[in-house]
Amino acid sequence: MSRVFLYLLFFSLLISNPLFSSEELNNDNQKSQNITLNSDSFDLDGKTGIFKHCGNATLTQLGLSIVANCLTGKKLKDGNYEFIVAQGNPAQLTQTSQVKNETLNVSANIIEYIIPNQQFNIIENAALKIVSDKRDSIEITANKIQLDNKSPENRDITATGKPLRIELLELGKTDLKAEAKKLHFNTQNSDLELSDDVVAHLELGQISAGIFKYNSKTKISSFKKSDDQQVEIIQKKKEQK
Amino acid sequence: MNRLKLNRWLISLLAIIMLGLVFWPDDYAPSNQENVSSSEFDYFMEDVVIHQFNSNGEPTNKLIAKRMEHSIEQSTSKLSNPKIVYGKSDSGEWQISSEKGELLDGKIVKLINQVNIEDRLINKQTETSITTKNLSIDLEKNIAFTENLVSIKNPHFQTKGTGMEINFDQEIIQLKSNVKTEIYQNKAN
Repeated sequence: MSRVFLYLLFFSLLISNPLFSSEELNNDNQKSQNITLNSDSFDLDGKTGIFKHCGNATLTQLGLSIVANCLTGKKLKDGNYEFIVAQGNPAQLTQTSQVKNETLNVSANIIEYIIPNQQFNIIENAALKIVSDKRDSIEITANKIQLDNKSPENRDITATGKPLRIELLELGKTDLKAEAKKLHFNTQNSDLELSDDVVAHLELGQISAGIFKYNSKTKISSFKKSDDQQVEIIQKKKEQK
Repeated sequence: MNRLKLNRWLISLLAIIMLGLVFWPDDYAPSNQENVSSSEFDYFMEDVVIHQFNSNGEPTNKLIAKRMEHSIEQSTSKLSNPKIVYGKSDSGEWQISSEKGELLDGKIVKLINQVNIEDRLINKQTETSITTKNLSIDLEKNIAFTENLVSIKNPHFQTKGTGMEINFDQEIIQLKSNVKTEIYQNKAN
């Protein structure tokens, strides 16, 4: 009788805690899909194995597509291709996630796609926009943006350089506009951290600080000073009608 | 009288047998040697290997053929089962082969119909293989080129395109238009 109970307990635990979440399975599915490249011309270096697709170059892999002038593939010692560099004026990347009904749009002079980690390094004139359910969106412009696709629902974004701007929109309306030199944002927990010469534009006014933390779900924000930046608020009186 | 007749018959029969032996086709002679009349070529070679060296005396390539027939009128040589071998920097070699070809002025090899190019590492399986049709190889410039469809196969990717140039000195393969690559993803990644 006790053995039957143990079996039931084991199976109920197995059902309630699957070994792989749907996020992990979806991410693995993306990684295991073949990558297709099209272009006008192609160069393969027989010494290094580096290839270059140039002229109207496109990359497609499941929900991912990249359009660029040139796509360069570099491989690991085991022969597998590790990452692809897209160069353009600008190169453009689109990734759609059916899991979260979300679209990622990226443009930059250089987009590096690190295949095993599902990571994008977006370099020079980098712009990133994530639109979720066509209502909420995140827009970031920076010198360099790194996007780590841990899963379609868990994207880790870091950005550096000046000018670095972020705009969070909720139901189509601006929730937050800010500038800084460093940024970190996680799409799963909605935690945003800006540092170095932060200027945030809020209802309260224009706030300058060393570090600014904000959660777009809870709407809780905090400002801290740094060695060279005091927390300052500039308020403008609203015009009376 | 009868004896005289018999002798005549025997002599006639002997003459017929001798004529038959003289003009009977020789089964042991190479068949392709017969198909070409002596006026078409001035010399031929079998199992020939031509080595080429650069100005520093270093080997650049070698041309191997089962048979080479040289035509003095056209300054060309017809090649049976030609194979051109180029050394690579990683101690491997490129092997380019077809069923037939032509050597023009001792400088250009034209490989006719199906051409196979294999990137071979010594004591290892072929890493990259290329297939196309009608490939020309400039033995002085060490460049191969074709305007036809090209397929490059590798354990990690496959590429198809139209028109190709290979520079064997720089070890660069270029496809000219309509290029499509499929990169196979290792499931273990």
